[in-house]
Amino acid sequence: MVDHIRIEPDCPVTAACRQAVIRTYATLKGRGAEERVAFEAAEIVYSWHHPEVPRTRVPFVIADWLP
Amino acid sequence: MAVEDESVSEIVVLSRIEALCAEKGLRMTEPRRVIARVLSDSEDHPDAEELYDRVKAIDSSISMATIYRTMKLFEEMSIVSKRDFGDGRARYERKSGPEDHHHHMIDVQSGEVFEFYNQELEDLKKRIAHDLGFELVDHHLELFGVRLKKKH
Repeated sequence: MVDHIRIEPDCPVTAACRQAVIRTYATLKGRGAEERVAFEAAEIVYSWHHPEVPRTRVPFVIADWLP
Repeated sequence: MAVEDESVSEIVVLSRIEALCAEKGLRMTEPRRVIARVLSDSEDHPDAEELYDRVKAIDSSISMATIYRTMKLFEEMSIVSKRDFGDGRARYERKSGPEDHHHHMIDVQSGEVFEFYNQELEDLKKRIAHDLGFELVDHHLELFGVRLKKKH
């Protein structure tokens, strides 16, 4: 059986990727990191969880999860 | 004594993108308004990060996530066009109408982007579409190149 690769996984609120992305961003911001640095770190965390998602799509996916 | 009503005398000048948003019935929050204005004022093709830098100079509370959400929304509503110039970064410009139709020449070495218009090219594209049995309704053209060395 061939796995169906979804371009944008519909990750629930409790999904590990989503939690990790939100935590990374919030933690870095909380420690005074610049917005851009925190956002890029969150992108990298997401890509680690979802290497199948094209890099150019990543910011649009995580933008829906972050403030 | 006549007191001028400020709400009447105030002249509200909408940027082109703000006007498009209004036309399409999009609710304008303050961040959307700022992003729309910055994009309207841009002569170049900013990517989301460049847009963020310009927006931040006006309102530092606007986040990267807000930029990406707003650009996705503007694109979905055909308010802006997303362009891929092959550098892996999505760049934006206001949706062009027939009055400001243009194409792009991209310097692959420096990433510099030039806009151009060529009537012969426009006519040729229409003719090709027509010969294939179509009426041309839209198209994008991005040319990639390296600068020619100047002859001495």
